[in-house]
Amino acid sequence: MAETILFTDVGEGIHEGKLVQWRVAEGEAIKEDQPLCEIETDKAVVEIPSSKTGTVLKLHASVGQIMHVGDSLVTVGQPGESIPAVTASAVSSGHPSSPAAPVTTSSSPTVPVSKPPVSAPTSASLSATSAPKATPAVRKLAQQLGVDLNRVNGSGPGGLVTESDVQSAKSSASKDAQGASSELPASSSQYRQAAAGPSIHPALIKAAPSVRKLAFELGVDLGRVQGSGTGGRITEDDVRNANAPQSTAMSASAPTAASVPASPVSVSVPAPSAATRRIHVVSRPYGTEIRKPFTPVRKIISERLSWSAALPTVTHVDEADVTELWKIREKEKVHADEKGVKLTLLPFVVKAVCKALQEFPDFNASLDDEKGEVVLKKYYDVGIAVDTPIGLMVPVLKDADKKSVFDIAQQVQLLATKAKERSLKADELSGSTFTITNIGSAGGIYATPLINPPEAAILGVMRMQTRPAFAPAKKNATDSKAKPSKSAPKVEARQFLPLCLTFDHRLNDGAAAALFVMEVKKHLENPEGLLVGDI
Amino acid sequence: MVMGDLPQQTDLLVIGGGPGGYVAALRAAALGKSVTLVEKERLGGMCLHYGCIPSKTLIHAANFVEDARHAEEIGLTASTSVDVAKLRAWKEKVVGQLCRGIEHLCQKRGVTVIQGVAQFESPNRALIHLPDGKQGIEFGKAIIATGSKSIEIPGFSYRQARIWNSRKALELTEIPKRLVVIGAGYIGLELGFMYAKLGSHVTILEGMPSFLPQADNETRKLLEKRMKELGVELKLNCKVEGYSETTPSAGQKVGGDAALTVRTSGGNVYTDYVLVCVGHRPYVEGLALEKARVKTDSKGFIVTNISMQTNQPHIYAIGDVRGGPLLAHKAYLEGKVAGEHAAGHNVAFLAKVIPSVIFCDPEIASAGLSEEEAKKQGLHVKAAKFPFQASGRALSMNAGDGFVKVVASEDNTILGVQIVGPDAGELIGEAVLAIELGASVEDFALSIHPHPTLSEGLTEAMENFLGKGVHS
Ligand SMILES: Cc1cc2nc3c(=O)[nH]c(=O)nc-3n(C[C@H](O)[C@H](O)[C@H](O)COP(=O)(O)OP(=O)(O)OC[C@H]3O[C@@H](n4cnc5c(N)ncnc54)[C@H](O)[C@@H]3O)c2cc1C
Repeated sequence: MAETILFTDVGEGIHEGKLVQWRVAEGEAIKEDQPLCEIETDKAVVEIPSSKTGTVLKLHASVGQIMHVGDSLVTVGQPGESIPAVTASAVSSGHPSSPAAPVTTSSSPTVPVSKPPVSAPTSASLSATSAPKATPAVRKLAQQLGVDLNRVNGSGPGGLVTESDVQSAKSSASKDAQGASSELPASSSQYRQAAAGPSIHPALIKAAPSVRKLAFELGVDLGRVQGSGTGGRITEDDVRNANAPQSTAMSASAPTAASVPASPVSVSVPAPSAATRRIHVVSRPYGTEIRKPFTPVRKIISERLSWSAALPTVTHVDEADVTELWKIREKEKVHADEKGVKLTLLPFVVKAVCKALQEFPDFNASLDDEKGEVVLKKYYDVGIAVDTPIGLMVPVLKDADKKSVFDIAQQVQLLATKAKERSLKADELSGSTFTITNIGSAGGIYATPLINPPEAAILGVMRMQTRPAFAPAKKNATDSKAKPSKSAPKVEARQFLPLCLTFDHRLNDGAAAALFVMEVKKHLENPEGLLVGDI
Repeated sequence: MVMGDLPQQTDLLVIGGGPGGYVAALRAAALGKSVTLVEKERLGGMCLHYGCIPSKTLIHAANFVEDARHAEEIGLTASTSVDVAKLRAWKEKVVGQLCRGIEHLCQKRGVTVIQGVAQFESPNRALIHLPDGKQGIEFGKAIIATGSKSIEIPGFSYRQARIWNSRKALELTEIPKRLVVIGAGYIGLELGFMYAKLGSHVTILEGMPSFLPQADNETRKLLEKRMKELGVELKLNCKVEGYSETTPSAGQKVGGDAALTVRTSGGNVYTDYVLVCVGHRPYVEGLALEKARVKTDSKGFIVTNISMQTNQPHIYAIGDVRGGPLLAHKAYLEGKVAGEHAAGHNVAFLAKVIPSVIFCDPEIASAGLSEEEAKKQGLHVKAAKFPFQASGRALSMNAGDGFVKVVASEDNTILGVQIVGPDAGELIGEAVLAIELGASVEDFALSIHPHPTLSEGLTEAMENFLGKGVHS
């Protein structure tokens, strides 16, 4: 009996993903758990394993297509068997990585299935097809709130689902969602509005039909969008802005716990038409232009950095003389290499930053706008910006202050590899308290990085420069004969590491920033302290 | 009507060629799908053949007659008589012209139109009962647009010559001397008024203590006033128990030459015909929905999502058969949504309001929420009215009965408009646009409306809402 395997939730509340590659072909014999395809979500590329052994009769989607939970992936059966109806009577859910028992049903529609095979191709929220008894208003409310009426028990007469049933289903759902994804920007007004409770009455939504159409296409819940037009009318731009995904590639920050709004459970995120996904070349009067999709990851980066760019920030630039540190690094590198760890200056900088943060707590902080409080974080989770082929990712090094330089080196290496392979888990992308961006690995003299909100500052580490410079006076007084003040200053080749600190001026002033960077410098210039314990 | 041979398979099978079905077929075909439309009677459905169009055609004629009767009031003398055969022929001409228009569009867009009755065999296959046999057809997707049917009440079979449903009433075989209408909903009132104006003595029987529940008290009062003027008797709280053919001897005494005696909780009513208008139910007979495994609700309406998909995502349902207000313009939009969705576009039914018009006298039109509905839904609203008595245009048309009422939210966003009066149906479109665009009462009030027209009534109501009314 042929069965169709559906794309099911791959965890982390992901509703959709792009099919990037098929790992099987029609006619191929496959085994249970063998990967069927790769789906790119906001955060990672995941393999979808088969829940069946058999022969692939049909692939239901094509590469590049946006898949929604509930969409058919493949039909598996005996060679030569005819393929059942479009949404086959027998469905089976592909199980991602958990050993969730594959649901297999016979052709009888009465056999209970744990996930009703009603999912419309558009989205989960639209799958309220066989919605039980509910008035149109209630149905609409459910649609607005992304509540599946099939899963709501009606409290009205004859099992009628009432508005309050839907509201309470929604609030329990968002509680779940709150637990699942705490990665929402803390202080964007738009999202604060979003958190302001249940979606408003549909009649009160001020949006023209064309705007509502766009919202539907983009899967934006208008009840949660604040209109910027006259009298609060929602414009097309408002909808587009609200469409920025809620999850974050660019380090999902840990917003101040108190102000974390419940994630506005992204309801239907329908597939953009194929045309908008393709790269196409257009001839223009001025020459050829290429149009390519603005990818989900870039959208997330865009949303977060636009937020960041709106903050009053200042970049303070300094440089550390790392000649001594470089020597240590050269020496220790050999040991590290033996252990398969690439030792760069970065782990030392991480270490120095943690020490400086402990001295200057206002830099390991965030601002809770709503409450008018500054949150000082007593944990030091350092975000490390990593350049990947699909865009900037910021994996998080947890409790960096407690780790040795060697451990840091090892973990940064691991996180960077995962980021490039896009196998980072959501929790490896969230919760940083301060970010370091190692722009120097690419080059450059100075830069003005953008803060990773809601953090207080970000440190850009530039490329180390070797320059002729005066050797510093020896601080060590044991050599009593050395009288630095009298001897002529000596010029020698020395190593300098430019440091660019961008800080949120609301939280710290320029003098504090200068002192903070001095503190980082101090540790880098006197590296012994960094090496306490095993390196 | 067969415009092509029935194919063995089709991308999209549309069942039913009413406003829902033919629009869905045309949309999907325009988007490149191979479409087969199966209709058991004629393209245009109930709306065109025995609903909106014939009723409005005849109501137009009836209003003409009625106006002529009152021409003397404004200094004109006219005598009218109704030639039933000619009037029927004119109605059929109107219907025929529109029907050919739909056929032509289908041909032009390459929709294969088949006359037959469709019956599901599986979720991907249907059997078509043709006038001369049967044939199976495989489909990728299907749209069910089979409409609705008048409900029959026990004892009043439409097979009886003197028992009519709206369809038979619109055939206009004769203008009865006496007509009993059972059910004072919108269709009963429209047809009752129509026959009254054409010359019948009409009695409307309603089992409930009130009538036309969607209207407010003031509207009902205006209708009652008009009924009196037209000699229409409205009997509320009146339960129909049965009827019998009147034997000449017995009938002679009490009911004159009436052919039927209708027994009701309020005594006998003598009449020549009975028109039953007690509502519509989904038309799914013969479809074998269970074979397609398509779900219906407790009343038999097919359940769908806002993209019109049933529990079988490749099968859609639109129009009357999926419930909601049974209106052709609702079916139209649903047809577009289903046709486009079936052709692979991501669309949904997103309209805020579905306007409705009752072609009574005065005409009644509504869009969006009434004050009462809004309050029931927990919304804080305000409302204001403008009476047509204060409208120059209405008085110049000798039609000052009625009003415009606007309902708006606290921040003056227009949520609903009700119009009772001349050409209310033509006026309501502007209100629909205002509500859909989220216009404020002030936006409306500040838009100049031409003088002297009925549309000024809308701006006047808006100004009254803002406390700035000049004319009332
Ligand atoms: C007297 C009257 C007045 C009305 N006035 C108005 C009005 O003023 N304004 C308004 O908006 N609405 C009005 N309506 C309602 C309007 O007619 C309906 O809402 C509209 O026709 C619904 O369209 P539809 O496409 O859903 O179904 P229909 O128009 O009913 O079309 C369904 C079609 O499917 C066909 N069919 C059914 N089963 C099968 C099958 N198994 N195989 C093949 N074909 C099948 C039928 O023959 C029919 O042609 C009125 C109705 C009546 C009765």
